[in-house]
Amino acid sequence: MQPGTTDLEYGEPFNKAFDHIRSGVDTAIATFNEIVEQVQQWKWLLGPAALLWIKHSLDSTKTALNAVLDRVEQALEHQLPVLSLIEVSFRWVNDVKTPVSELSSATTDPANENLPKWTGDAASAYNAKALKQKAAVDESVVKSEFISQWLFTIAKANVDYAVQLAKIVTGLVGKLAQAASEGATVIDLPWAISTLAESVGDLVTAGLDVLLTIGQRFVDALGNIRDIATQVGDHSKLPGGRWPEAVRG
Amino acid sequence: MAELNVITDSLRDEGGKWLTLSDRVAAIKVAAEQLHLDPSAFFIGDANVLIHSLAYTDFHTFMVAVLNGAVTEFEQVGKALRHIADEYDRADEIVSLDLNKIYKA
Repeated sequence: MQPGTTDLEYGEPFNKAFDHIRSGVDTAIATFNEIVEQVQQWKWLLGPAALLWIKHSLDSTKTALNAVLDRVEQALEHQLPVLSLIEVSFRWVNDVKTPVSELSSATTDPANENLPKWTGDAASAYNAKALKQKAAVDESVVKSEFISQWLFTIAKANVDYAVQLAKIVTGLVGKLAQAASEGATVIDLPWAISTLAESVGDLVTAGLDVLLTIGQRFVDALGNIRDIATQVGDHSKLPGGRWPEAVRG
Repeated sequence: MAELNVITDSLRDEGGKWLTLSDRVAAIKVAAEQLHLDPSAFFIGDANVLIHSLAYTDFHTFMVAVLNGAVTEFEQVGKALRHIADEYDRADEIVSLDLNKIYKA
């Protein structure tokens, strides 16, 4: 799960899933309305019992559709903020980890090749201090990498969630389109709508279950909070959780 | 005397190195400061994001503080090395220094 330099791996599939969700939801609603129109059209031919049956099926289809629309609405609200999380996870690597790591060897490489001619207590005290500074630099690299990976775990759960939601929406569109075409005649209409209600119900139940599992994965990333606490609390290279003081005051 | 000049020159160069490092880490600190995330950025689904968000904020604050410490320390190391060079120049030789005084801002 090593991040690339661009967000091809996360940002793109994430946004693509949202494109599918947006257009799919529009089609799903339009097709559902189309089916309701068909019922209206044949109403005069359908007996009261058939109509009641159809109404019941349409209601449960609508309930399932609404359950998905709720998720979609919430997801749409968070699309841009979550994109910023994906971006921030890359920036921990590109803007912090990499430039800090470039400082590492500079801390102990002498600026002037004659520096080793300087010997004695003051020189060894300086070298010891420089080594501690280098250790702190290296530790900052490790910590930046850690937070980036933690955010990538969360980004991954978000991408999976968006992709799964898009799958549910696409599945819905398929079932609705099928019902609309199969229910084109008054004879087939009641059956088509009843089948629709059943298959949409199954699809949505199964789909939302997967969303829950993905949500659980997001919550589980919380387990890494212990890792975060460890990172913040590990004072071996950063005494007292601060940069090591070379100069007091 | 020539030997002393070689050493004080290299100490001043080394001091300059730390001042440059301080500037470089200062720029990184500014970049890190911008990596703030709102709670809404954590999940597109229905889940409690508060703890994730708090944990991140803690970590972010910690990292910025650590990098800020580096800016200060690097600069002080640079100044201390120049101070040492000045002391040697003044004494005209490599004298024994009170390091407690040198490494105190």
